[in-house]
Amino acid sequence: MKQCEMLVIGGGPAGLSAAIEAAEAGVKVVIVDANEKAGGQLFKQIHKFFGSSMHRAGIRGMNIGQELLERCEKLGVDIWLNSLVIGMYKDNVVAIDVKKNLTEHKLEKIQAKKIVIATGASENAVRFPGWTLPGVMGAGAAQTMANFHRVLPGKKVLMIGSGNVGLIVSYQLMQAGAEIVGIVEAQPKINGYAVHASKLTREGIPIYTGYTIVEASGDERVNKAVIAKVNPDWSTEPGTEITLDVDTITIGAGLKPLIGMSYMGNCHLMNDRFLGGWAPCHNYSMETTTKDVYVAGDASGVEEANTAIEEGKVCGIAIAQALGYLEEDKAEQMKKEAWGRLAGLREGAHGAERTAAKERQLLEYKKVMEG
Amino acid sequence: MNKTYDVVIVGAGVIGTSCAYHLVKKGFQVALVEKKDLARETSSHCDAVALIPDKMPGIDAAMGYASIQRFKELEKELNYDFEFHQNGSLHLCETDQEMEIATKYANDLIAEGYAIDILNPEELLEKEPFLATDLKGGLFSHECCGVNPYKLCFAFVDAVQGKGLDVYTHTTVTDIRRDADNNVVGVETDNGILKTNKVVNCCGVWAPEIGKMVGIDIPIKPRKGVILISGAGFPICKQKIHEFGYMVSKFDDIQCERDPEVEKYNVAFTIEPSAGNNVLIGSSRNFDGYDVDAEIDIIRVIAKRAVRFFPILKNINCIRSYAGVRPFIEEHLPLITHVKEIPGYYIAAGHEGDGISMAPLTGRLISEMIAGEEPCMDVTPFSFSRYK
Amino acid sequence: MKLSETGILTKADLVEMGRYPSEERMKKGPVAVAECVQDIPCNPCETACPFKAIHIGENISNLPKIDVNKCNGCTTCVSACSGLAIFVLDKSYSDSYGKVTFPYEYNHSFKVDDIVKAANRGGKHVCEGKILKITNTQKADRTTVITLEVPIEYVDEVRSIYRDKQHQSSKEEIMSEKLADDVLVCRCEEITAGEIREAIRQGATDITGVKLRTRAGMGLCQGRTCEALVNQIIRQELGNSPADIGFSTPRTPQRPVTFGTLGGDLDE
Repeated sequence: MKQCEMLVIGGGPAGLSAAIEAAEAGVKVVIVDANEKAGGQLFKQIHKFFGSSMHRAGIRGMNIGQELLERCEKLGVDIWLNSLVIGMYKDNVVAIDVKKNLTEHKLEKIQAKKIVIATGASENAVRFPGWTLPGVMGAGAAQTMANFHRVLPGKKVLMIGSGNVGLIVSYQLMQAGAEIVGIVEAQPKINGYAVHASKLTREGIPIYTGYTIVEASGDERVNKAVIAKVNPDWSTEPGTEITLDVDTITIGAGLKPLIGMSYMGNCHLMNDRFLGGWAPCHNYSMETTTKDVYVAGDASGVEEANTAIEEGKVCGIAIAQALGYLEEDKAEQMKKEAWGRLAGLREGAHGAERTAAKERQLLEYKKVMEG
Repeated sequence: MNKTYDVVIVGAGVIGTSCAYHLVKKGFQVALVEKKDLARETSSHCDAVALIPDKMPGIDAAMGYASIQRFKELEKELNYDFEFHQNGSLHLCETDQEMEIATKYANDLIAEGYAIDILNPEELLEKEPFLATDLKGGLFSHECCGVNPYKLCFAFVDAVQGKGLDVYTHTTVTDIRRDADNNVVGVETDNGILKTNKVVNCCGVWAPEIGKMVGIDIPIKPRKGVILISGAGFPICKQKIHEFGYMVSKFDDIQCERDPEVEKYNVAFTIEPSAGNNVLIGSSRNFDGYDVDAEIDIIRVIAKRAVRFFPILKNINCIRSYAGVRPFIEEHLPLITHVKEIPGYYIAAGHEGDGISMAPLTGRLISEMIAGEEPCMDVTPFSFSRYK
Repeated sequence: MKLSETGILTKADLVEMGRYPSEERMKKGPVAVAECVQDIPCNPCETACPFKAIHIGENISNLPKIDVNKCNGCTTCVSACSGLAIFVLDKSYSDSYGKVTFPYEYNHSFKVDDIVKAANRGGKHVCEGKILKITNTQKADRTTVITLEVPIEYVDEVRSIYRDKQHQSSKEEIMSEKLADDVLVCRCEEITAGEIREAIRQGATDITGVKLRTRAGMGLCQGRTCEALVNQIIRQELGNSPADIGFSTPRTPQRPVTFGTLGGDLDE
């Protein structure tokens, strides 16, 4: 069985940052990524990020991705691509399905001193009659098609959900040449940032707050969507139906952490809706209740790429420290700084709920370990 | 919940639900207490068939046959569909030595009157065209049947819940109350007390815990089995299939040479079609405490054996795996018994891999014992007094 | 209608919050306005301003404060804002025309001197505008900055270029019962909402209970897709908490893998 010092599952912003931070201190790192290119969702995030200069604010996600990959390369981080971790077992062993070429796969087992779970999140579905028709897809899937594979998923798009994902993806589909027929939001208010919404409204895109999708229809693929006003009891108000001609419906109904590895790693999970549902609790080093198993990014609770980067850094620092590559004082100082930057990113009304949820995770960790 | 019942059953797996069903049928007021939910442990982490050729000729095979007959009746008695199907079973022989042992063994069963065919390699392929072509032959048993194990639990409960049966799920038994003469007088739970003077311990691998509450040592050990599931596709097999090596892993007195990894996890290939048009592939038997991780090394060995018998599986996806723990007893005989030292305390546990097929019979025997009737078969071998 | 419902700010909102430059200031020459009214943790505008006219401070979710005396309307901040929410307004241009500078990130073939339809914050075509300037700098990383000449009374309104499109909305009477029983919930195993409700009536109270009774979640995706939907239905029917409803148990392999790969030889 192969051995390594630090194994990172998932090469998105969290995983790459963890690897960089640890490799800089001298740790030998292997990143395992299921895709043909690492970077996670960064390469489809063609918008400029929020934050401050210390979080690379104003830089487009794809450029951050490129930068992280270059640093990994320089540091000699071993990145296994087309490599799918199928499970995690006792004694820090993971099994990987490695795609060798178009037809050949090979199973690999690898044992690591430290494991970072940075598997990210998956999209939530919304069900309505017709949601299984071709042309109905996750907003993230549409974003991957348009920005990564450069294929426009459709020309007339209805977006379900006005969170930042729904708003940003709508904007980007417009940039790619699609028409956004509208954005439907069942809540009475827009969920994402007003500046993202304003970018759309000044292009004339209607945002239907307090509306829900009633039905999608079409023969071979979706060609019609019916939306209607929702009442407080979630029934729809008769007579408010609007029929829209669409060829694509994208669902931006939020994300949930991927917990497969955490569950299999026996990490204590807790449910918190402000973090997208079930996620493992962890300590200030991002270590889960399972010793040697760390978590970072959306896998530890859904947030954003810049928080994922900082959480990844905390993991990398903590692991370098635990493996003896970083002196305690220095490591503690570096972790403190990263947590400071995280606190900055979680400021404001939009961040308050996440801050509180993250505190609950830390508290739960303490409770479980003490008890 | 402080109520009084004729009988309180602890554990809502297939044995507990069968006991509940059969007791209510005899007119008892029954409570079924379960720490989690119906069929949450072993009964939903296994495969399920009632077979004849995996039993030794004699009493074992007779019980297997009786179980099959009982399932046929239950299919008519119970409204809830538990996916009963009777399409026979195949046992495969990899070597001439295995075929020789199998032939002798089959002839013993045939002599006892069971419908078993001895197949040559061509006949084997006719029955299952996707089998490897280098097998030496096999046995086909006409009578064998299968059920969906957890649906069988739901079916038992569905038939009698509210008609004499109260189900307390998410309720943990904390103690068994006894009077000064050691008679059972009640069951304490984290949710209150159930008064009764008869309690049946149907907790399978956890039966020893409920045994400790009355100071008895029930020698059941958890033995893990891992099962893999294929993606849904076309039916690659038509019936339950075992490698004859299964017999080897089940009874230690038949000796064959085996691969060290196969030996380590006691892997014997089995495959069966499921209602979802995928196949369940098994299985292993190893001792690893209560751990239910489907470890990668066990999965690897099972997958390797599966591809050996069904080469077509090489390019078919495995989509899931799971492990369950079976209640193992050294003597390969379950406990279906009253415990004399503690009047009113019964045990129905320790069936290892035969729990599903023996559940109907077990439920019936317990109900007969509690009703004070003559049991339908000799229960001496299942008695707790065998440990004295 | 409020911003949070429509996504559309108004000048009145900004004036009320004291975040809009005075008439007097705009008459003096170009000045930036940050139409940023939520506490987003973000401060590139502060860093970008060469005149230190924008202040956010330690707490990066403070709203940007623009010192209109230091600001000379240089437009550097327009492309620096990740939220595309900063504009430069100028009412000193002439008596009847003013200038609006805004960010633009769509493909276009506009040239200086083109006459375009100018759009307000709601995307409505409100007037014509003449393109005075199109800037693309390396630092702006593909955020184009466009300056438009518009009638002076529209300086407070115009924020983009109108997009031509035809989409019709029509009202139509349809019968829709929310979450009809025949709606598919588990795509892998083709299990409907009705079958899930039936399982709940039979006694399922959590994800696993539904799974055992219906097969929902037993397919390729191991329930990652339908889990949240089953969760919703259970909550609607029984009112259980998400913690009690649980999740679909993750198993090896996390994504489908062939038996051939699983059973293949390992390098030791």
